[in-house]
Amino acid sequence: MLKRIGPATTVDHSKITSDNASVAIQSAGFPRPFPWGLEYNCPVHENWNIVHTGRLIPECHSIYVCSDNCLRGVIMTADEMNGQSHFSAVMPSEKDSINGRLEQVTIDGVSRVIDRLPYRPRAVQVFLVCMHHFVGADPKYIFRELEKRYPDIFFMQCWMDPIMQKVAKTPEQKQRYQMMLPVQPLEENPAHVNVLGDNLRLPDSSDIARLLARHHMRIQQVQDCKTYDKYVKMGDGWLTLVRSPLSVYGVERMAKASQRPYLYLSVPMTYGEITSRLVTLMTLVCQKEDETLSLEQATALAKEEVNAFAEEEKKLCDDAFERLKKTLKGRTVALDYLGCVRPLSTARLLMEHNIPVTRIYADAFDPMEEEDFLWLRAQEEGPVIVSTNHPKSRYISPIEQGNPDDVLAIGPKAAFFENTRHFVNQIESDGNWGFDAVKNLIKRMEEALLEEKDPEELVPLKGLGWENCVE
Amino acid sequence: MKEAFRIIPVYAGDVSGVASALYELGGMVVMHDPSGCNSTYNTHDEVRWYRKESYIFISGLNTRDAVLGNDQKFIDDIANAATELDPKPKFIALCNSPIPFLNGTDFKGIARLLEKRLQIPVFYVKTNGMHDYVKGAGLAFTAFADKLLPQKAPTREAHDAIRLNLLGLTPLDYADYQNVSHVTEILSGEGFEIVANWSYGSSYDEVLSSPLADVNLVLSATGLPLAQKFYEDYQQPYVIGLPTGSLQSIICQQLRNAAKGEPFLQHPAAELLAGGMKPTGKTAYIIGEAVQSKSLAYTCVFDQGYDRAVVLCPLEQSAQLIDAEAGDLITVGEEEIESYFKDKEDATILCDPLYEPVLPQKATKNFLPTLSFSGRIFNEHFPDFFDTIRI
Repeated sequence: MLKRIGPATTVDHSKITSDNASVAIQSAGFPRPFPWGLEYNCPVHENWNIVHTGRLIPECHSIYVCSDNCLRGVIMTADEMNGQSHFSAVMPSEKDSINGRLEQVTIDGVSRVIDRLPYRPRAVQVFLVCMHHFVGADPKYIFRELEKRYPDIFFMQCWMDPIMQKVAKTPEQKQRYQMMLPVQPLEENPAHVNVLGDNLRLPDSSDIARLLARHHMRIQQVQDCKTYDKYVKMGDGWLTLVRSPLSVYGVERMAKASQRPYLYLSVPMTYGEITSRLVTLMTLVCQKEDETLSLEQATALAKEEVNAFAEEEKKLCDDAFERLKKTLKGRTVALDYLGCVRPLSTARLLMEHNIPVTRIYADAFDPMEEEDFLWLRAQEEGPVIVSTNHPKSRYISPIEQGNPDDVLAIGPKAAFFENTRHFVNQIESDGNWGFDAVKNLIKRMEEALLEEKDPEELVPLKGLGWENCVE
Repeated sequence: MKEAFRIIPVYAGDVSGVASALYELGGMVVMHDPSGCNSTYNTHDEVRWYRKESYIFISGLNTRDAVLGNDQKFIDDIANAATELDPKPKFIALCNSPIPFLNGTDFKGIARLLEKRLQIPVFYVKTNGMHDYVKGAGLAFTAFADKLLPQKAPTREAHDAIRLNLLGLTPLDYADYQNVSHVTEILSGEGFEIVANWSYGSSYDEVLSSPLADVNLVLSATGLPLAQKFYEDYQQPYVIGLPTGSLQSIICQQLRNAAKGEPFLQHPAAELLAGGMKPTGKTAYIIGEAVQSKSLAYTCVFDQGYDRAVVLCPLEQSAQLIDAEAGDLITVGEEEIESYFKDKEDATILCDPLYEPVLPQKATKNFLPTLSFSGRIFNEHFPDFFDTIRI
């Protein structure tokens, strides 16, 4: 599960390199290699934000209640994705905020928006903000009042309160939990497995989907739901899988309430970890199919199946790596945390296959990556960790790099900072998982080597791939 | 209800206005905010971010420091960054946002401490994230001038050409740089010498020369507070309006008159429209920034055959730039605009494309995208206001 990376982590300032925006992995602290300070914001915006994620639920409207500066960003996000028909806002004035009227303006504003909509949403995500915390607004009162006024609408109590994100749950974590609440337990269908809390659809080609299909189990995901009712019906899944660290908080709470199992399958890229995660999944599957099996028996069955599957997959991956190495022709690789859910695992995978990774663009790591971090640190030619938001990162401007053609980048921030036209333009590992993710990554690296792209045209655009996920 | 926005966006906020105004002036702008303000600004309210370097940062304020009043971290972080940056920032501007505003952070005190510690001019721009860019940019220009420009004008040497400052020229109103080139070309062609441009395609040294100018031209509402300050401090008169269409020669004449100390019209578009419009008849409606809209209204009536042109301005600090008696209106919120046009099905309207959902379906709409409203969505269609804009 994702732990917030608090100020008391293992930052060793003496080991940070002199330019402060980068540090050799051998000297880097984990999970936070750089101290908190002023932040630069590079012009790379392909990641999804809470606006994109919120649009995944069909027949759902989003209403943000905040002041001008904060509101502007989310409205523009919605407008850029032509999502304004499912997006509205309430902008309390300065007077409203300081005169104790924030709760009332929130309730009346949200009501006014709902009353003026040309359609009746089945659900509404209402986003309160930092300001609501600081003036002591009572969210329970706000939502109780809204639920009283609109009993036919399911209200999700969301937050856009980044002031909390470094010391408590992030807005994303809270939103994703709220988005799971409509999926209440229904009569269990042993053929249905839910994948919840991810922005990008898990492809049918993924290891998980293929192995489950062998057991006549089907994956249900919000990206496949055309109606709100269909989304609610996901409540019949017997098992919930989650890949995003931002969604573990929600899935854990849901699982506890429903008494149904869940599994956090972060996106490992190394063969060993992929295999081990698949064994855990298939053990649960074997036990579901035959409840008389002991844990040991189920694990043995799962191992047998997964190992055979993994052997075939590894061979395909190794063959692909051999082809890739020929195409790389001595180029090095730089990657980032936007392109890869597990940047350290990805770097390790590549280096285990003798592909040099010179730079990893990230400001902090998921604690789950510690083993990969230690492995990379032990390598003679380990990568350099480069901050994307340190004030001096602004100097890592494209023009100051060497020959960008020498670098293949994975992820938009790596592409920007390296100023390379050879880059894999993906976020969140493109939704892939397992050996399938490895094969897809290699394929996309090969394509990136052959085809040039202009980073300036692509990386500033928000929400890569949302149009494939949202109707 | 003025606070509810069902479908249209809000204008760029005050913090974006500050950053946009000071972007090119060689200083450091620090937004004291948890997150978002800088991302919103550089994604949606700024066209220079990818290619043109700047020192604009966010503090990343967290709830613990806000509640406990830990200003020391903010101070230390700024000091560390300012010390590391090369070239050294020429000044540091501090912007406020909703939470430091609500908890009463003492920005003036912080500015004093930083200035003492760093030996760099530091000033506070009194934003709070709850106002629009007109207010923010206006405050930024005047705060910069208060801190870095002399209180009294230096003695002006004799010169042939009339010297002119352009005020209120930021990408938020004039996103296409062609506007800057074009207005400079027009005014130079008329014999004016441009001293400073506040501040698009500009520099620190250039704006420091502003006191040498004879007269100022206000090109948007963001420039008005600075024009008023320059008038007070340096007795520089100012003229308001865009030298476009037949207004060009009138504006230039008023600038000449003002520079020579002769009687002049300060806001010629507004003053001439007041007496030149018919009470009824073919009407053009213009929604947008006040100086641009009023100038376009002038060209509608005097160049394009309209009987009347009415300006609807949804921005702050603009009331004095429009003419309420002529039917112009400061609007607040989307419902007011929607209701204004309810019985005007056949209206002809010039506005940003994102106003369309609240305008009558049958109305004739001519779109004029602006960075401050629709952001970068229509970035290939940003207008050149100094070319002919027809409605």
